[in-house]
Amino acid sequence: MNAELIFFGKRVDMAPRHRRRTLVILLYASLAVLMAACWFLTHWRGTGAYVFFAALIACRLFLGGYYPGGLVKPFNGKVPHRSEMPPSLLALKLHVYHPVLAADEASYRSDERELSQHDHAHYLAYQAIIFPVLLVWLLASFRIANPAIIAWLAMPPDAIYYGLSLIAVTMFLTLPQAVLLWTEPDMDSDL
Amino acid sequence: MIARQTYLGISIRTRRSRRRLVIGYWLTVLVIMAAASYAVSLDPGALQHWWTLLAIGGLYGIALTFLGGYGQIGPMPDLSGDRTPAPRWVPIEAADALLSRRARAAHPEHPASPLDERDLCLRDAAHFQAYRLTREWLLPLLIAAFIVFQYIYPRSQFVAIPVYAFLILVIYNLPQSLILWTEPDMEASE
Repeated sequence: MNAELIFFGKRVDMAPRHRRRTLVILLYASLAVLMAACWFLTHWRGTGAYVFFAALIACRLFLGGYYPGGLVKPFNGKVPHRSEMPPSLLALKLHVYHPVLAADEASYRSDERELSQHDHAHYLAYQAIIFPVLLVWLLASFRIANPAIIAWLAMPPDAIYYGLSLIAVTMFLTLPQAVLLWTEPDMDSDL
Repeated sequence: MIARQTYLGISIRTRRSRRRLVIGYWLTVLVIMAAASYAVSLDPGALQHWWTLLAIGGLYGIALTFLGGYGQIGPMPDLSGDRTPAPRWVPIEAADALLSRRARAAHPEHPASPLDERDLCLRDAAHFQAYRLTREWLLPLLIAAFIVFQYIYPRSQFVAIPVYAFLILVIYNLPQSLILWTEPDMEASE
């Protein structure tokens, strides 16, 4: 795991665990607020996908793991693809262009301890993801078996399925990285 | 890692026999779920009979626990082996009364210690692989299937149930399937 986060060109020290935990809380709180806002605006019609894209952006900018960038090293241990094309002007202006230098390649590979931590984080995340999926299934089953049971809910059942599925997908994209950031003890600062 | 050498009277000592078990399990699950979904979509009222619910629930319960990993049933041991709390210091005469069954099982000198270090590594690695497979293959496939079926067959609630039921089964049983698939042949017990 990287001890510093490069956020729009600014280097942020993330070595202390409390900072990483704050980041995780802020990320999930922001995603929850976005989801609630999308519900109040359009009942997720057309806007539900924004939550998905927000989770992807959070992975790219902060979490890493399955995406280049972010704090967690790539889970596949591969160095991000180096494009021969010059970077876009927007990427340069926003300071989000991070060229992969040959000397940096080793920093993308995880050592044995990190691999073991990745695996364990996936084990923990795997246990949690079952819950939103299980809730959708239970609601769908109740809806068919006895619709009166869920008639008191203020939201239409299809919207509940969609919302819970969105939560499951968001957790699926972010949870292993969040577990790693949450559990890793204080690191030596590079700054 | 694998808890027993025979399961339901079939030897699962060799990797080949375990692979047959895994293939048979998933094929059976797919066939039963497809048949049940089709039958329910023809007559949704059948789900309001308690015996239909009982039959479906029973079959699903068997499917969930068949490969083990979440208790003492099935070929896999309980995979939550490292969740046991470390035994705290207690007066020796009170130890037996105070230590829970699980804490006793986790004690290194206890013969029934659930998972050793290699097992824990293997379990975590299997969950990583299962996560990757679900993320890269299964989830996109299921989302595509869900959209296509909803388009062809607009009664979405009848599509949601089997899709989610299958997803739950995969989340529960894919790591166990991977371990059963990859573990080498075991030595024959005396």
